Amino acid sequence: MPLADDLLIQARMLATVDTGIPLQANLRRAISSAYYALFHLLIAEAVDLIVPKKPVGLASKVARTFAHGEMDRVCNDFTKSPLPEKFAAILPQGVPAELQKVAIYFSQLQDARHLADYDTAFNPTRDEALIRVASAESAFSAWRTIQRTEEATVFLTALAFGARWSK
Amino acid sequence: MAALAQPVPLEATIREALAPLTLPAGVVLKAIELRGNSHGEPSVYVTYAFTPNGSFNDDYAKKLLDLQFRVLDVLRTFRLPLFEYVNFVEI
Repeated sequence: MPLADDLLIQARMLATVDTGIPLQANLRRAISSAYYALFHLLIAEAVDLIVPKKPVGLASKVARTFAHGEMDRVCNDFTKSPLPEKFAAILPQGVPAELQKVAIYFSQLQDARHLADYDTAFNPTRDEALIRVASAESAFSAWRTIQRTEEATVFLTALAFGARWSK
Repeated sequence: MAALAQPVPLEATIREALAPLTLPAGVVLKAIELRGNSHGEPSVYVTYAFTPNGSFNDDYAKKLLDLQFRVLDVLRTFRLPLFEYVNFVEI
């Protein structure tokens, strides 16, 4: 099973594994895994799209070049209507609602992941963690409906090139 | 942070724009904050509080996520030079 799918399963498992008062560590890791599930899904899709299959090892090297902050900025751009000019020139029709959803979920999850991983004052409840898990699951579902579209191709390519896609 | 120099609506204006939204049972608007996100980018955070009822399920989560998109739709009408976040916390 792809890493992204594993992480999505793990996220829900961590959010629901405790029968009594849940461990904060489990809830934090649930939120983090929910984000990383979507992060790795999009990277895997982008690498599959733009990187040759050979030589062996090239794809994994390219996958390491994706940057969280740059991906977040691209996602923020794709939530805007109208699109920023650098994307509107290629996609004058805009982007499908389901792709906007994926971009929105990514940004929301990344911000939540930073709280979960780094903010010691953040004490999520089980339900708060489950909302994040549900958003990652919804992002996967939304992605499946638009992953073969031209708009998704532009989106994945932009994720790969990030800040260097400036004009 | 240069984008903060651009005009952004006051919290009260955003609150007024969000007021017509129908909220799921047990949900109230808790806060609207203009601050930096975890990357230091200027952002607006809209936080809703929900009442824990012991029967949280996927249908309820779906209602909250639907609210998230409706809030973002409203925020987009302002064309804000900001990152936009909608959070849910238990009351």
